[in-house]
Amino acid sequence: MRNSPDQAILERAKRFEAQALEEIFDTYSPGIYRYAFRLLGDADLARECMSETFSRFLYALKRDSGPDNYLQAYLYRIAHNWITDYYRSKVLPSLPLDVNLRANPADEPHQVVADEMESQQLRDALTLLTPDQRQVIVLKYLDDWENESIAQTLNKPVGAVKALQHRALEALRRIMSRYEDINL
Amino acid sequence: MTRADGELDEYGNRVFASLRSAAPIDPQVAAAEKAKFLLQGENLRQGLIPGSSVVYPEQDHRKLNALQRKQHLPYIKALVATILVLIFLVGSSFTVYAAQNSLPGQPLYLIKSWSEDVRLSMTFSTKAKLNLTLDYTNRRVDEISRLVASGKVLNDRTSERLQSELDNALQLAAQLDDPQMQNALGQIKRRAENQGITLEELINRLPPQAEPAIIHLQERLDEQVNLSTIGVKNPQAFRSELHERLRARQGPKHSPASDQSQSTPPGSSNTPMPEQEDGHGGPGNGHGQSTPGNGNHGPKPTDTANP
Repeated sequence: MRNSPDQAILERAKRFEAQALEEIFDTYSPGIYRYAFRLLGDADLARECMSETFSRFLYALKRDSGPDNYLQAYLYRIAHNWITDYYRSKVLPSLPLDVNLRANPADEPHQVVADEMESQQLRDALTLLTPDQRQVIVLKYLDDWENESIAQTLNKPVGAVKALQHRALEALRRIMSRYEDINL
Repeated sequence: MTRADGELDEYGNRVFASLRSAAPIDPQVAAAEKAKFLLQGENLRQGLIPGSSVVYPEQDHRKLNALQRKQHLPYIKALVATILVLIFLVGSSFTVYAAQNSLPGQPLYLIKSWSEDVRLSMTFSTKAKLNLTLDYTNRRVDEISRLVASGKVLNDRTSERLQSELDNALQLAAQLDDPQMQNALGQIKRRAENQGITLEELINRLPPQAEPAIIHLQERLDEQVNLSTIGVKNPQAFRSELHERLRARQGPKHSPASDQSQSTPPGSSNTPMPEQEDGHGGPGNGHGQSTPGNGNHGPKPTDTANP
């Protein structure tokens, strides 16, 4: 189970104890960054997302509106909504020219480009899902979370999470097949 | 799991394989972000202490600018010092020289204070700074003596400047390693004792209205002697005591009410906060906590954009 009760550390974080805040940052920032990077495909944006996530968390504590438990779920939710709003506010580019291609030296150049196009199409396709669908999919297939942990994050029954996964994958398959038609 | 579910699950695993690799964050970037986060936390922690100032997100930028200005301050002071030196060299040194003998309340005294600040900011070694600060405390006591001798009343600014220099001397000493600090505190103690004696002699010549200010300074010098004595015997106790005293002094500068008036709901900024989706609770719902809100969303194309 990923989301063990976090009351003790959150109590300390509410008093802004440096050690507690450091522990929280060290524990969760790598995951939040990876999550953002996978969805945004850009290191700078992922960093911005991570930074804003932790900043929002602090100010939520200040307003006494932060979490009392399930900190990880809370942080992912902030990051998730940051990304959602980012995609809402931006016109999606086709393939960015400055994209960091993670090339395998053994691959042919056209294969590298094709793979990156597919990755970008996948990211674009993810933006067309509902936020909950997208979060379920990313946590399940990219971060390898169990359905029970995802259910806790979204505060939904496990059955509802499975239904979201199902609908999300169906939708993704349709979107990706349209991209394939266009590419042909 | 039905066969269709299994097939979809397999599709999910396959299609997302290309996105699974995510380069970890650059350690330097991570360290910078962490430092920023901890600084924000520290600002907010001070906001919990009544009377402390709080920096809110929209103030961060201003704070950064102020910080940058502060970082530039030594250079600006160095520039000012250079200009002062040039003035000195081309024959206008009279003003600065004359200012050195000025007393509080006289027009040239501002230049004297200014030149002292510049000289101090251009001194980089802690020990040298400490020696200079101690010389300045002597200057202040000398000024006070001359003021009183000329029948003038001691103003608050002079008294505050002396107290600030006494504080600075202790803080500078605390930055040294223990043996050096103990030596420095011995020096501070001797100076404070002598300055106390000077003020004691002064009291007999004081006009009645100036007496409380001088007595207050005497008490402050007694405190200086006591603190130095503690530090000579027990450096750790001295540092801890100094820290507490400085915190206590800094405490009542701001009222909680003024802090409240500075606050702006973070939700009003452009950065999104977590939201409720489809009427379902956000993280922690059902656990007695608020869901992080997102008050600035427009229409939600992503909610209905399923093809």
